[in-house]
Formats: sequence, C-alpha cells, structure tokens
Amino acid sequence: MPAINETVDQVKSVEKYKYGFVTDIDSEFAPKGLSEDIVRFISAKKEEPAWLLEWRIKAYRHWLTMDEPDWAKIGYPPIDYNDAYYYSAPKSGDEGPESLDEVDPELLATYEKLGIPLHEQEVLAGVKNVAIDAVFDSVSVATTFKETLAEHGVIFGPMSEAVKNHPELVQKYMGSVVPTADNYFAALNSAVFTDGSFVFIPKGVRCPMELSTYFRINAANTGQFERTLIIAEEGSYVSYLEGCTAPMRDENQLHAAVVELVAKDDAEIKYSTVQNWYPGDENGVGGIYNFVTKRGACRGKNSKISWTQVETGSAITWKYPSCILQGDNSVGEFYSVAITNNFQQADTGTKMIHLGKNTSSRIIAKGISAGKSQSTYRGLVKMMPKADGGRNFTQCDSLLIGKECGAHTIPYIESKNPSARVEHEATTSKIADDQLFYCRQRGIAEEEAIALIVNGFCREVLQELPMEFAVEAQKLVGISLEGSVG
Amino acid sequence: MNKLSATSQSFVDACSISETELPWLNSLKKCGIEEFSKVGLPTLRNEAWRYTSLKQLERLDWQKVAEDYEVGELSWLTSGDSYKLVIVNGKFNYSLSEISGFPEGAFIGSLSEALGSHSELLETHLGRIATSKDSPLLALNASHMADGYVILLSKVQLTKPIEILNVGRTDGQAIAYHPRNLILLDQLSRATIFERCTGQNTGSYFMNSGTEIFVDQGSHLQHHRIFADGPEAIGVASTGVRVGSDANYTSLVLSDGGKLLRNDVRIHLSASGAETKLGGIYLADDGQHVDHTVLIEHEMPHTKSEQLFKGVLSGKARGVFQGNIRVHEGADGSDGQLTNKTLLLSPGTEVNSKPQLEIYADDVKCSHGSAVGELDEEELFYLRSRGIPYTQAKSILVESFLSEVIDEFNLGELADTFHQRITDWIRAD
Amino acid sequence: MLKINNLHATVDGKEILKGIDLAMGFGEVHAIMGPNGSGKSTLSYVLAGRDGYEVTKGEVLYKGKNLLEMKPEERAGEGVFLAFQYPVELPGVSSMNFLKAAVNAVRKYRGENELDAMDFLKFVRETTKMLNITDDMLKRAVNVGFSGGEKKRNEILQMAVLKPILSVLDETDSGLDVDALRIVGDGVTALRSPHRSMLVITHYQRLLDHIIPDEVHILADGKIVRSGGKELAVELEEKGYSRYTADAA
Repeated sequence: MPAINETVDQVKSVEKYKYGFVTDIDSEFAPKGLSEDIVRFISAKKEEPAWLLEWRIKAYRHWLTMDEPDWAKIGYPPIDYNDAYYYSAPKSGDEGPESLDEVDPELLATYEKLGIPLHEQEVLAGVKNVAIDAVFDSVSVATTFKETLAEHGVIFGPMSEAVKNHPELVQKYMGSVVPTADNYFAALNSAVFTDGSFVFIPKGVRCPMELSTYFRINAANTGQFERTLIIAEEGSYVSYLEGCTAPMRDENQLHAAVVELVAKDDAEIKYSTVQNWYPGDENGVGGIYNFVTKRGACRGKNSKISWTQVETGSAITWKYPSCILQGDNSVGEFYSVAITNNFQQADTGTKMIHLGKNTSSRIIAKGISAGKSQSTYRGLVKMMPKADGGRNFTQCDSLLIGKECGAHTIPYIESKNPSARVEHEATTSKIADDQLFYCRQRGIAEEEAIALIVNGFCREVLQELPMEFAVEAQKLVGISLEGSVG
Repeated sequence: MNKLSATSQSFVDACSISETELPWLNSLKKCGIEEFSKVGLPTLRNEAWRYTSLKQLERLDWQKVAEDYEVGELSWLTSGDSYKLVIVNGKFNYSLSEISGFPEGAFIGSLSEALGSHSELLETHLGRIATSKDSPLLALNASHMADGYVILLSKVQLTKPIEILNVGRTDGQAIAYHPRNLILLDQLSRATIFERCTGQNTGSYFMNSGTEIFVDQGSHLQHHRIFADGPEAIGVASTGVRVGSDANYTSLVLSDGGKLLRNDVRIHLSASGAETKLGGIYLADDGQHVDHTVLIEHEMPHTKSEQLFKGVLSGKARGVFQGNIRVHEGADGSDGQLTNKTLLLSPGTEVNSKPQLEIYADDVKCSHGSAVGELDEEELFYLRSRGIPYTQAKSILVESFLSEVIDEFNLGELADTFHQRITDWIRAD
Repeated sequence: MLKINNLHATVDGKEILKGIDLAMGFGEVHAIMGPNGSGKSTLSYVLAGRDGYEVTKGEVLYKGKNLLEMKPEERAGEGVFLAFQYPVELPGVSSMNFLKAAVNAVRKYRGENELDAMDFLKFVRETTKMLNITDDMLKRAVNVGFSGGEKKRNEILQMAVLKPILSVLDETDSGLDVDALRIVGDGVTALRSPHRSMLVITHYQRLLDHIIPDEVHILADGKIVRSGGKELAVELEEKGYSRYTADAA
C-alpha cells in the first residue's frame, strides 16, 4: 500500500497539533447556558417546523430526568452544562451562503489552513472527487459539488437545509436509529443539535465521489452538537468521511454528536472518521470531551455498514459506533485505532447486535497507550435467538508505551442462539525492545521507529481507510505519540 | 443509602452478633453487617453481577440452621487413604470426619476450634484475604460467620490428600448458611485438597460460603472442587486466595449441580514468583444458572496466571463466565492468559462471556480468547460417516471438548471421577 | 578502521566479554569463531549498541571515533551494520517501507539527498535480483512468515542497500541449507571492496568456504585465545573447540 510507504517522511514533516489556531471572525451566540428557551432559540434560528421543535423539547425534558453515565473507564470533573454556549455561528454564515463565492473569505482561509480546500477546482492532496460539507461551530458554512451530486440524485448538505428541503425524509429517519432517549448524550444532542450533514443516496446509485464532512470547533466556551443522518436506499453505495479539529484552549469543550445510518436491501455504507480534536496539552489541561453516539441499522437484507475510526484527539473519548444487523445476511464491520498520549482517556469500541439470519460482523480494534493515558476497548457482541448462523470475529490488540499508562479490554459476549458463533481474541503487550533495536540498528531514530512499528501494528485498520485519509491518519499516528519516549 | 430489599433486610435482621472474647472477631462481624446493610444483595446494576440475578433468593423465607441435621450415607471420592472432613449445612461435623494422624504441629478442624487454639493466626488472616469490601456476599458471610473448616500447614508436606464434603440437607424448610473456611500453607508446604458440595434431599438451601486461602513462601496447593449441589440449591461460593513468593495455587473446578451457582474467585498474586493455574468445567441443563467469575490480581512483578474454562449448556440453561486479568502498576514481567469456550447444545440456552484485561504496567504478556458456538458440523459429519450414530458422535465430541481441561491438571486417582461426571451428565442430557 | 582494546562487557551483571583486543583495516574480512556461550553474539551487540550490554572496561575506536558513546542509529549512520542471527519480525511494516525508511535515515545522516519512491525502487531492484528476492517478499511485513533462508537473504539485502563500512555478520549461516548458504555467501562476497570491512561471526567453518577471511580469531570464554589465517578455521573444523574451552577454563 503506497500510503504506508509515505509514513516516515510525513511524520518528519508535520509538527505537533498544527490545527490549534483560532479564526478571528464575528460570531453570533445564543445566550450562555441550557434551558428550554435555548432549545427554542436554536429551533427558531433554524426556522424549523413545529414538529421538530416539539421533538427537541421532548428530548430536552427527558434529558433532565437522566443521569450522566458513569460506567466508562474515564474520569473528569463534573460538567457544568450551563457554562457553555449551545449556538455559535459566524455572522456571515448566518443566512447560509447561496454559493461558494459568497462564503466569508476568512472562513475559506481557515479551511485552507486546515488543508481542506473548498474551491471545487482544487483537489484534495492529489485525490479528486471528494465533496465536502464544512461545519464551523454550529453551522454548515459551505458544501461543495452539490450540483454534480444532484445530477445523480444524491442529496448531500447541511442538516438544517435538509429539514427545509426534505422534511419528510428527515422526519421519517431522524431518531429512528438513535432514539432521543437512547442515552444521556444522545438526548442532549437531540435537544440542542445545530447542524451536521444529511446524505441520501437513491436506489441503485453508487455515489460518484467520496462525501466528507469537516467539523471545526472555533469559538471558546462552545459545545458542538452535530447530527448526521445517512440513508442508503436499495442497492446503493456511499463512502463517507469525517474529520475534526479544534483550537488549543485551556478549557474543556464538549462535543456530543449523534450519527445515524440506515442501509436498505443490498446497500452499503462505509463510514470513516479521523478524529483529531484538540487532546489537551502535555499536562492534561484543556481538550475536547468527545461523547458521541454512532449507530447504523442494516435494515435490509445483504446490507453492509462498515465503521472505520482513527481516534487520536480529544481529552476524553466516549464512543461506540454500532451496527444493528436486522436484515438477513447483513454485515457489520468495525475497524478502530485509538491512540492516547499524555493525560488522554479513551473508552471506545462497538456493539454488534445480530438479529437477522446469517448476519456477520467483524471487529478489529487496536489501542495504543502512551504517557499517562488510559485506553479502553469496550465492545458488545450479541446474538439474538433468531440470529441463526450468526458469525462474529473480534480481534483486540493493545500496545503500551511507557510505565504510567493503562490499556484495558472489556468485551461482552452474549449469545442466545446455539447456531451462532462468536470468537474473540485479545492481546496486550509493549513494543518489543528487539523490534526497536532492529530499527535503530538500521539507522532509524527511536521516535520514527516507534511510529513505524505502531503504524505496522495498526495496518489492518489503516488500510480500510480511503487513500487520502490513510495518509493523514499515518501522519497522525506518529505525531500523537511524540514525546512518548524519554 | 438505598432501601434494602425484603430479603436483604431479613438477612440484616437475622444477624445477631454475640460478643465473643475476641474483639477482632466481633469487629469483623460488625464491619460485615455494616457493609452489607449499605448495599444489600447485588442487583444487575452492579457490574460484577450484570449477568447473574439473585432475585430467586427473594422468593423464599430463609431460616437459620437451627440444629444438627441427620446425614444420610456419604460417598467418598478418594480411596481409604485420605483425611476426610464433613461439613453439614455449614457446620463442621467431627464424628463423621476422619482426621486422625494429621501431622504434628499442623491443624485441621473446625473454625470454632481454631478460634480457640489458633486465635492469633486467625486474627492475622481471617477477613483479610477475602474482605467484606470485595463483595456484598462476603460481607453477609462475615456478619453471619459461625463455623467452617480451617487447615493450617507450615513446613508440612502432606502425603495424603484431604477430601472435604460440604453437605446441604434440608427437610422442607428453606435454610441459609454462611460457612467461613481458612486454608494457610506456609514455608514450602504441600497439600492436595478435593472439595465437594453436594445436596441431600431436595429442599431449598442457600449456601453462601467464604473461603480464604494463603499459599506462601514456596508452598503449593492443589485445590480441586466439584459443585454438585441439590436441584433447589442456590450457591454463592466466594473464594479469596493470596499467593506469596514462589508459591503456587492450582485449582480445577467442575460444576454441574444446583439451581443457581456463583463461583466467585479472586486471586492476589502478591509476591514475585507467585503463580496460579485455574481450570473450569461447567455443565448446565434446563433452568440451571451457572456463573464462574474470576479476578486475577497481578500485584507484583514476575507473576503468572493461566485460566482455561469450558462449558456446555443445554435446555434452557444459562452460563456466565467473567474473567479479569488485572496487572497493577509496576507488576512488570506479568504473564496472564485466559481462555473461555462454551458449547451451546440447544435453542433456549444463553451464554454470557466477559473476558477482561486491565493492564497498568507495560512490560507484560497478556491475552485472552473466548469462543461461543455449537458443535462443529464437520467433525460431527466425519464421525457419522465412520458409522458412529449421531448421539454417540455428539457425546464423543462434547467429552473431548471438556477433557482437554481435565488433562491440563494432575488429578491422580480423581481424574476418572471428573471424566465420569462429564459422561454421566452427557448421558442424562 | 576498527580497534578494540581490552573490551569488557556484562549482561545482567554477569561478565561475558573479558578483555577483547582486535584490530581490523579497511577492506579486511575477519572471522570470529568460538563455541556456544563464548561471547560471540555479545560482541556483536556491544558493537551495535544494544541496551542491556554494559561495557565496564576498554574502548572501541571506529574510524578513529569512540564508537561506544554513539546511539545505535548513529552507529548505523556511521556505517556499522549488524546482520542479526535472529532477524526481528515487524508485523504490519512492509519490507519496502522499512528499507526506504532505513536508507533515507542513513543517507540523511551522511548528508546525502533522500531518495523518492521511484529512485528508491530502481536502487533496490538492482540488489534484489542478485539475492533472489522477489517483489512479493518486499511487500510482505519485515521477516513475518519468512523462512530461515528468506530472513538471512533479507539481512544481506539490507546490508547491500545501506552500504556499510563495517558489517558484523552474526551467525548468518545458522539455519541455512546448502543452496541458501551459497546465495548468502555470494551476496556477501559481492559486497567486498577495499573500503569495506567485515567481521564474520560463526560457529562453523562452512560459511568461510564462501566468504574467505583474511584473519581468523578464536573466541573462548570472552577472550580471543588464538588468531591466525584461514587455515585456522579448517583446523578447528577438524579438531573441534574442546581444547580452547579447556584452555580458557
């Protein structure tokens, strides 16, 4: 794989968290804090229909009755939900630009700096055909290649726009995979979500380009609560990527997203994430709290949902992209790399719920802990009584770098069907001294050698990423571990 | 404080701690009841109990064991040449036990006797290897502790095995008892213990045992157990083991009886060179619930643990396995391996497997594997194509699946007993 | 080129090397032979700078520089190459990627320009042919699932592309059949040149049929007990090591 070949060069060329800058732009905020009024404010800002406001209010009221989950292996001071802004939008982006020409040049410059070109004539890192939806704090500021996609009947754009233009689709599917009351953070998101991407791939269409959303938190004291919904109709295919970054700040900022995927008969959704939110500094100050609910429903027979994630950022990651394998012969996949360094904490994994016959799932999770960080794989594989012939294979490997970090593996295997087969394997070890010495004897310096070995360790997962993300992900692997050897 | 369930409350109410002459014992019991009163019986919300509900306990009115019960005929696994202990409903029975000739300076007998004769040693260890904080059931056990067996060996290598028979027997009334046992092996001692729980008659009993074991300074303990309680029995066996320097605790457990069994083992590898090897075989049929939960604490460098648990479930049985390898900070050179495999023989069975790794040191070699499924179709077909009838082919495969665990252990004359139990279970199924 | 003076080294507190003296000039090939446990591998690790091998006395001068104070990767940059007795597996790291990383790291150290993917491929292909290494082998992860012969050929390939000045070959013949031995021997011989020196560590004489040494040293119990020409190797093959182990003891 050519992308792997580039690793070492790139590791050298990129400095530490280079996305930590702040864009100086006039923004409009909702009043600080969280209340029913704020929920109404957001809904009004977005000119939403009454049903959606009601939906939000219901979610908000339910959220008030819920307790923050405490079962994950993460520790953080209590979050004051009233000490944050739930809506922040660049003033220029308020009305939503009609075309790319109208986008505030300051914003275009920001995305350029992040390496995300919003001019359609430009190509991303030498790769053509990526349509991008750029979400800046609470709003989508630009979407590219809309017309090209429309020719194929593909709908791709901000959620707020979809609410206006395709209310029937949004109403039908939103909350159908992750109900508003699903969990604490999903309920919070349902109440205050601002934007996110909406994707609809019509029957039989193979989406002609990669779709990508780039999430950026910019404003201080602001949470980001986006909601993404992808619907793949019968026999369709889409590959969707998301990336995320945020400025370096001393405070902790909350990101609580919900992603819902629906795959009908013979449809396939490939969902890739490179999560690089600001992780905090080497003393554990600042960083994003990332509480995310991602779930895909394989509703149709022979449908397939594949999650690939590279989690290198955030001070705290709480995230379990899951698959509900409802349709017979449906397939769920989860490929994950989670790297923690310094004081980062990650509790991440997946759930594979097998309902239909001959459903199969595959989980490959690689965790790397360095510094004083803690990394946990937590995964559930559940075979329900009707999942005849269900199959799961899980492989979890953890790598430890240094004496003060921790790596934990907590799988839950539940089977109610004798004809289903579940296999789980896990290992934990450190980078072997002889591997390091071998590389160094060949002239490769220690940090590079670690990046090389860790990239090798993650290879099975990284090769699942679309090419242009794979390159970025490999760079990240090296950068995230900088300073992990003393 | 949460409101306790009716049954939890009744256990609290039934607890009457009489002041003995041993202040430490009084406070041990008091701490137990305080701890239990705080939390009560665990519910599914308790992560360690997420797959095993003790709701069944709520259905009956549990009475204390009032008097000594008559015991029916006892069968022994070992041939004549062994020390034999009999505990009936949690009470040590001297007249049925055969302990004569036990080596000079060593002790074998009841908890009540040991409290008199070896009070200082017991003060040092009792309630400290398995503490009331470890689980609500241990707290309950501490508060109600009345009797049990005690085995103390220092610089003693036993040449004969010890066979322990725990008999649960009730005639109608549902009884609950909480035996506390203690085994100490020190300074290059060696012992082999075969321990069995059986039920006589078919009444309901709730055995909530607490066993504390300390194998120290180069000592080796082989502790093999069979849980074959009566059909209405609810058993929670909590065992805390501390393994000291260059010492070894080896244990094979087979369970096939009882209505509900929770075998809860926590092993502290508390000094360099400590090793443990655990095997488990669980067989469960219609309506049975069996739970093997093991936590291995690698507390010091260069410690080693191995676990191999295999189960076969049939009918509407439910099997639970939870195994956790926890390597503490600084415990470099730890080696922990765990394997759990479960065969499901029929629809309606349910298995929950939760193998865990919790690692806080970097120079470790740890792994776990878990597999759940039915018998291999291809293997079945192969046997049948050689003329072996379906049911027999199935038995052969199930037996060989489980025999692998037995073969890992040096059981001597008892190996046949273990194999026989498997064969009998398959036949009955 | 290489001068080892009274070198003492310990592993886990145990003294393994007990005063080694050795001098090599440019272009020379020296063989070190010795029974198991005589300290052969320890010497190779000390020269390459592996952690855990503590030098307690003596010095190693390489091209006039103090070799012992350099990091392993600096030694590699300076031209010291160790062909491992047991080449290490790097799961997931493709051989090609690894080679490129190593070559460019060493080139950078030497102030040469780094090679891009195309140039590198051309550069490597010249060598792989000679060593009978297929492109498929280069795509596979380093040493993972390689046969014994493949691993050793891979070591020689790395040696060829890194262009070392001092190559230490630690039991490169172990685990090789006759054909593999010939390929490896020819590969090494092809790399001989007036400005390149080799230290061939081996238990048996057979590798020296393929790589003719200028000098042979016998290492026993951490010391060089005898030196001579290539005929010494033949003598050893006939008479065995027993008298040297006895001498040392």
